[in-house]
Amino acid sequence: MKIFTFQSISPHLMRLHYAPTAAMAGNATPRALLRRRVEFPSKEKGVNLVGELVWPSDERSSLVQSSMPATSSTLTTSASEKTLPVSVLAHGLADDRDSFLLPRLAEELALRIGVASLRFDFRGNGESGGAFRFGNAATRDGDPADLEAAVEFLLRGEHEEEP
Amino acid sequence: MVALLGHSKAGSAVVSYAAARGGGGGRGGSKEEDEKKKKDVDGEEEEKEPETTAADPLFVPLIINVAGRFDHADRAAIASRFGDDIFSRVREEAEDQGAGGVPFTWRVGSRKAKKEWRLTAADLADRLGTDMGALCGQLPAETRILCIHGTEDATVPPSAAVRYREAAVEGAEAKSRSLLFPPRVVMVEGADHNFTRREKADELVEAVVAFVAEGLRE
Repeated sequence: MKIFTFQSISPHLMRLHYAPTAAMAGNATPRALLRRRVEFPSKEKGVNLVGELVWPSDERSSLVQSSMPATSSTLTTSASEKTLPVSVLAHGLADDRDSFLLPRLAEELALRIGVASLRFDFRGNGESGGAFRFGNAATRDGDPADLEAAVEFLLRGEHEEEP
Repeated sequence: MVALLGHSKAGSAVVSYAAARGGGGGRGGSKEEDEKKKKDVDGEEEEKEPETTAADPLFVPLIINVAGRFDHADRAAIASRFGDDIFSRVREEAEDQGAGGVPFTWRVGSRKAKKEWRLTAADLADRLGTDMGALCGQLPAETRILCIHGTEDATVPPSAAVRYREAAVEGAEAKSRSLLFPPRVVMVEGADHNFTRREKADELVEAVVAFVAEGLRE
């Protein structure tokens, strides 16, 4: 059993210990990863955002929107009706959806705990439209608006359409 | 939606996103909008239970802020990136040439593509006026927040992680309530801003996977 410990720089900081979860333990066979390039509208008129969905598949690839309450909304695999929680992984200044450790996080979340993810380029970055801006990290119509657009895209379930 | 993770600038963005679910609108909207929002929120509080986030379809329970900046008004941090004269350059450009911004050419993204862009007076003002402390005070009580920071981060001060937590706790106390899940801080000893070293990257991944797995269980 693996236990991970993070050193603290001060005694009041959290020490994190954990053992593999039941979900991880039940996942002895590595699952395959599925990917899909997606494009969806930002909150800015005429400007689209581009991203990639990554999710694990041990059964079927089709993603169907869950009918669960919004606060726990998930993706489900159509064959099994198994729910698949989804996350959004967002990049920093002058980066894009493949920067930092975002691709690795997408794979590890999917393979180890069955969490799907959407990585996307903020406006003005990567393949997305719009202007590159400094600042606007926390302003409602800045980067948080792109996060809202990404979450709304996932909730709409348009990513489910099979080609 | 279970989790929202942001690195660096997006670390601030995911916290702001979460704060907006608690009725906070971030800063930067028009004054009329802010006042209207304030009225709306006040109105809701009188009529309904304070628990309004469950009704917000955009509510995301797990928020992961990796190396996000807390003090956006730190002028020294901006000067170290653009030069000490950046504030006067942007101001003079705005006065003389109409606020189109001071041009920069950067190598950006995972492919290091050449990007020409402009630093405008408005964007600089937005940065200086961003108040993460106020936003932390607007976080919904149901939000679980994890702040991860490397102790050797030379881009964003590592103290930011603790400041996020303190601001969230103090903000909740100011409203005479408590957060259901106290914000967590994980300091990764020796990690830089991008968790470049493989073993530091591993520690980050383990912290994220553990936090999300725990959130899914509960």
